[in-house]
Amino acid sequence: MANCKTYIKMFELSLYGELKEKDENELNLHLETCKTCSEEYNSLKETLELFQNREHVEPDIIFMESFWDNLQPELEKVNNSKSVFDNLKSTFANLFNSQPKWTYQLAGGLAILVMGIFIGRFFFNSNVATENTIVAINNENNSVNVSQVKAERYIDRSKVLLLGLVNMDTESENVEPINFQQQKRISQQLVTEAAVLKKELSAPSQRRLKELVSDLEVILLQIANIESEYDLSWIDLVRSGVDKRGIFLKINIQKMQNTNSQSDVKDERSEIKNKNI
Amino acid sequence: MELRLLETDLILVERAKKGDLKAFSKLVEQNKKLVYYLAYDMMNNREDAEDISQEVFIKAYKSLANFRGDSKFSSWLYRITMNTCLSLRRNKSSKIKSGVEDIEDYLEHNLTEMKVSYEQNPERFAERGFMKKNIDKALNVLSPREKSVFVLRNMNDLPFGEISEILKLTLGTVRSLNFRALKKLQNQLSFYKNTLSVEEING
Repeated sequence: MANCKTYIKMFELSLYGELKEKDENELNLHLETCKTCSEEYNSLKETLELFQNREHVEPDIIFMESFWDNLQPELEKVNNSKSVFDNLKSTFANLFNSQPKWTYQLAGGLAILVMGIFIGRFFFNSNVATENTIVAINNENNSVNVSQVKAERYIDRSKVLLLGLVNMDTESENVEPINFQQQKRISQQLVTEAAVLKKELSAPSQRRLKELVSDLEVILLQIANIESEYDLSWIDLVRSGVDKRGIFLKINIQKMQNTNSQSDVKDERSEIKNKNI
Repeated sequence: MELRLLETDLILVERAKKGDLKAFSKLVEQNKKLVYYLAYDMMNNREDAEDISQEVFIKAYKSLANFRGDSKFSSWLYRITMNTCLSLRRNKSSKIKSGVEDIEDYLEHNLTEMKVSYEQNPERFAERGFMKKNIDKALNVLSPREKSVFVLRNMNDLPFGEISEILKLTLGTVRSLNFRALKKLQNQLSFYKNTLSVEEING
């Protein structure tokens, strides 16, 4: 003979008439003998009936009669804006279709050429000796700089992710569910990186940077743990977290400090270049 | 019959996609009451239900291109309705939060008020309208997802399978949310269950 727990599991199916006949009979037999289960079952049934048998509140007759009249002007506006968009689309399509094919090929070729020149100038600088000197100077501060650069990249990635979420229009017309899997995955990755990064940011001058990474870690953890794309209330939590911790302000201050220190380094580099010349 | 209705819906949708307002008006006519009922059940408020039901059809018309006909047109409308209701609810609860510390406190406060009213004046409490109001209040203890599932299943008579499609949740999750909601409501309404009966509710 099964115990009460087994029968309680049958309650839901039974309440909706979905229990197999054999199980239903068995449950009924149990309810006849077990007062606790019987009371619980009846109480659930009564509660359910309160809602199931409740009549709908009928809408206002005038509202229903004028429903389409109120709606139509709005839908006509949508039609008009759609036709403006379609016109623009066809204008652009005509514009591009009117050009001969070779013009696109020529433009593509020129673009590749310009890119090639740009890449060549950027990577194959002739002043190798100067670069080597700069690299040597950089190596002196390497241990601090590597973690600094890592932290900056970490902050940049987090900022992009947070900006996207904080500025998301959760009341938009989009009726499809939004897939946050990518944001979730990136957040999980960033949370993992944060633990390592915090250990590396050990220099006293990196205290603020370390605090900022910790703050970001907390926010990202919320995103990493989102459950449903249907309920977007977690975005409000993220927003208030970002607000409370002044995340964007801290990031901007950090950026300004970095820019200052980078301009110092640039000055140093240009001094070396001048000496070499 | 059902199949023919679906085919008709699809034909009307295809025509509406091309800007045929007459076709869309037929879809509106068929579904406006259902959308209103659902909006009312979710918001417990006539004004909100009226605004939402208009907004739903505007949104639907704008997004018709996204309707691929995988589900019933009415299910798709239900989905837009639920999203619109939840969005409005979120806005409202954030306004409440600014006045009261927390939404949970706010709801707790309302339910305590219900219990006090019953103890002070059981006769008034038993009045039909008053009870209806309190049943509506009881629904507010549910989370948005629980309320969505419970309202669709028990107050709008939709099968679990269709609810699962509408809310993009698994069947198991839908069932468990529904049962959890029922348990919460049982708990909230237990204090006056002896006074209430189905006959009284429906007069």
